[in-house]
Amino acid sequence: MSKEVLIELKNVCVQYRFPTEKVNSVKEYVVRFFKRKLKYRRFNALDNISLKVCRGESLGIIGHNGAGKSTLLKVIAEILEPTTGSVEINGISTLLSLGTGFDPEETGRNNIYLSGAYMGLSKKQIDEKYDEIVAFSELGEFINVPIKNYSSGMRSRLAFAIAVDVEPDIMLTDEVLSTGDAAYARKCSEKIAEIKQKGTTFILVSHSMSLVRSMCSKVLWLDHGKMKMYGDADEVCSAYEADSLQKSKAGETPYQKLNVTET
Amino acid sequence: MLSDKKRKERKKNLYVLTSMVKQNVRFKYRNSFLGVLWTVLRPILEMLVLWFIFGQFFGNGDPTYHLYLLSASIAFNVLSEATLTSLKSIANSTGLLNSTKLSYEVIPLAKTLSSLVNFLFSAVALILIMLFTMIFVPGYYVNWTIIFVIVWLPCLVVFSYGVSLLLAALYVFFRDIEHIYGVFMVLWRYLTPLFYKTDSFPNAVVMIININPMTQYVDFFRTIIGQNGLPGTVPALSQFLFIFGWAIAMYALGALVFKSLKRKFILYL
Repeated sequence: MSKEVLIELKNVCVQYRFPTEKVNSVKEYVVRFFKRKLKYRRFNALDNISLKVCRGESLGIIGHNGAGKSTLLKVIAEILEPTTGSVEINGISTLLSLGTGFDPEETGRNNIYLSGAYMGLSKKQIDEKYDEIVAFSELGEFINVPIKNYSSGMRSRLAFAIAVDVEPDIMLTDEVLSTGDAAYARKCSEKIAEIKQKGTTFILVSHSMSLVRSMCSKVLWLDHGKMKMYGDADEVCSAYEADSLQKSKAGETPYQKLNVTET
Repeated sequence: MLSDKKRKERKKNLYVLTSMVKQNVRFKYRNSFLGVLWTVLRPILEMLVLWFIFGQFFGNGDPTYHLYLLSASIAFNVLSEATLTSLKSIANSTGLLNSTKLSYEVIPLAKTLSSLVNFLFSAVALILIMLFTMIFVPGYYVNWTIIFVIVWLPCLVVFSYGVSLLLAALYVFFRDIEHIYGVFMVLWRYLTPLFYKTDSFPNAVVMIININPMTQYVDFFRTIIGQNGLPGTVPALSQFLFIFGWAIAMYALGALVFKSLKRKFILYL
């Protein structure tokens, strides 16, 4: 029962502070500073999140738009430092989100090397995996074309091929698996099953309940930055679906109770 | 365990850094026919233009005025290129910083080191011109003092990196910095003796010019490569202190501001 803990979050809060009016110039900032008119609104993107994920487990994160799902992913990827609380991550993690991190002017080939570098691979390691990445992405001759000429499907193919080939301990995906044609989608899910078996932990953000059900053992339901429900995948997904249905019948929109405090 | 993690982190940053520098250098000469040769040609052509315009005013009685121009322009270029490219570097890396865990400092550092690489290419032009000068100007030769470049260059790069950190951090929050710095750069350029000589200037003006750190860097460089038709000499102790002092002070300021602001970057990108 001594499973290796890969991710441990304790009482994580992320607070965004944004000015009531956007102050984007020095003059305005100085004027407002002296007039004491710098008003901020505080907005809790994540409120007191605690969770623990062990090796081999997979976690789905669901919730309405703006519930804090992507913010939570960024915290787990250690891109965003929480305002309070502690984050402990053991192992290499990669965040897979649509087409970011690529340099559009560079060719696919150079971007493979750059992305690899950002993920912490040495040139030698990438050299070894290069052919496999290109083969999996099925980009063929396009690998020597600048990324700016790629279609969005081609970009996500490349991003996915790089991410899975790195074989990270933790793979964070933000709504990426829904792009790509049917044949490729099948290939992806096969690959995911394969690396899951090898011990990669998946954190999946998705609005597709069927995908979450099929891939994840546990699911976290976020609602306005708070943990609404956390537990068995089937149970949470069903509760979420029931809740969404009820809300849409009642005509309630998710943004009605934005928890903003003025200071 | 922890030190192992740190070492890995450092190794990763180093590789990211070299990839970025290579990418920057490649990017600069993309789609240009002569490519990197421009780094050698441009300073020489600029030198000829300035020599043609100012030679009569400031170059009188100085057989190596062309070296006076060339050395200063490639030295000043390290600063201007590093800072102008670093300025928007953090703000323009939104996609990258939102998807990968990366030390923010790596980005302006890569820009600064790219300008160092370009300096090294330009230095080829300087060395060629110096060798030519040995043939045509009696009394001038390339002295061993040029070895002091290994002290001078790191100081100049650290100084430029300090300014770059400061600008890159502030630009995330205030986009006006771009315009303010653009104007400031014009002032800075004219307050540095790049083409003029301060001999006949009133004392008050000379004092202002000497407060400018770039004057110290340019002077030091000219001292070691030689000026006024004479070979290079060993710089005075005060000159060493100035270039060290400015580098440390500017780096400390830049790093302090950058460090205190970097936690908020991701919220503003």
